[in-house]
Amino acid sequence: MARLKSSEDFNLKGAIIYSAVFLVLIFLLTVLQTTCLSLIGVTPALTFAVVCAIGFILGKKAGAVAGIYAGALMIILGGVGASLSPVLYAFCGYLCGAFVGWFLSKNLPSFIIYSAIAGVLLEISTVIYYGLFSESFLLWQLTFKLLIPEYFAFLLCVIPAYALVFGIYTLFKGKDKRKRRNFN
Amino acid sequence: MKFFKNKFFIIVMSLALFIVIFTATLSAMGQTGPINNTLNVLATPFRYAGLKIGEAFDGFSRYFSSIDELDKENQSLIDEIERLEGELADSQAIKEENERLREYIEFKKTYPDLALTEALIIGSESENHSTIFTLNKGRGDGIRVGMPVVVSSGVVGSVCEVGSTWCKVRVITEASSSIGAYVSRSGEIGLIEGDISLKDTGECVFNYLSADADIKVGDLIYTSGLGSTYPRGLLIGEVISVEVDGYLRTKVAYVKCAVSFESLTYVMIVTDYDIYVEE
Repeated sequence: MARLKSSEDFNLKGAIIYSAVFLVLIFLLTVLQTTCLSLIGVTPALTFAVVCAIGFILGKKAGAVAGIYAGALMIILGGVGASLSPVLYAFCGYLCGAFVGWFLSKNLPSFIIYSAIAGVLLEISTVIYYGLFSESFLLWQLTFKLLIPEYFAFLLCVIPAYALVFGIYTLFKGKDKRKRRNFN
Repeated sequence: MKFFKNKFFIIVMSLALFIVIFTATLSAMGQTGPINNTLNVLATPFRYAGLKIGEAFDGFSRYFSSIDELDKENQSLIDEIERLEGELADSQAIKEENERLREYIEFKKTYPDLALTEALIIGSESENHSTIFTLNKGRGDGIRVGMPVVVSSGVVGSVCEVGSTWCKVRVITEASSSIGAYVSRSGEIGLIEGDISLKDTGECVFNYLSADADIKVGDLIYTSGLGSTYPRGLLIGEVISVEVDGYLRTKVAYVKCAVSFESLTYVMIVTDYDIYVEE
């Protein structure tokens, strides 16, 4: 996989295009995830993986905004009354962008590592959610029946999510050859 | 860390927290906002499409995931079929035995003076010039040489050899066999004898009839009881043709035996009967 250039060189028009495309994409993926997506018995957090990929490829601000939007959609379309999704998604989207270049270079293996860490945060938030709202909370049962399958299902989505975001990024980047300005 | 003090990060997280609290509050109050409604309306067609795609994938994956179940079910059905086939075979055997016993009872009612012993045919020797059955009853069961062997449909033959647990039966179509017989319609008497040329057709010859004997095709032939080998009144067969020997001035009738020897499994040995005495 080719190394990505710095994401801090978008102009306003490019930012609008990316925003529109990713808003629609996240919306569709959230519908997909809350409707029919099921792997190894659990629903993988495909939207979360895409948010991480947006943060990683487009930058921390894009990741944070996409995270808020995706988190809010998860609450609204997922039908859950209360969820920490907006905070978690925005946090992880932001971190994936912020950590780029700090510890690891900007490529697919690095993204997989970042995503694996983000996935742990996602599962921790699940534990908190169940701790707060579930009446019969059994950690070991939750771990083996939900957390571990959900975590691996999420990891299965990481590479497709990266390919999707990277593909869109590459597709629209080629149409924008004019003078670039800092988007971050 | 430096980025946690970033103004943008703080604004974003505050906004996210506000969304969490706001949506949770609306949910607790049982209300939905206009944005919620709009997004759900927008999502409806996509949800429907997603649902259809999901159903298609679900059906596809179920096809493969259910192979093991189908395999087990198939094996279970095979076992069930084998069990039912076994039961069917048992049932068939019981049915045949029931029919045989019913015939035996009917035969016993028809001939109450006959003492009968049922025997199973355990062997059959069929050569060019003889057909001999081996039965599973012998001297130990009271079987003696010369005892008649019958089935409900007619006469089979007589015991020609006896062992301790077995005996052999020579059928009436054998060339060396002869039985005193009479025509049921007219009472004409004669001798039923085997003929080597007719053995395979299941026929025998009714000899020693006078030239003016009253016999015709379709007449039934019974044992006469004369000669003390066979009891009187057992069916031998039906006349299928009658010929006149002009030189000897006698008639010869050909009789189709009532018993089908090829399909016999069980027979009855007549161990005792009242000897017929002509009045």
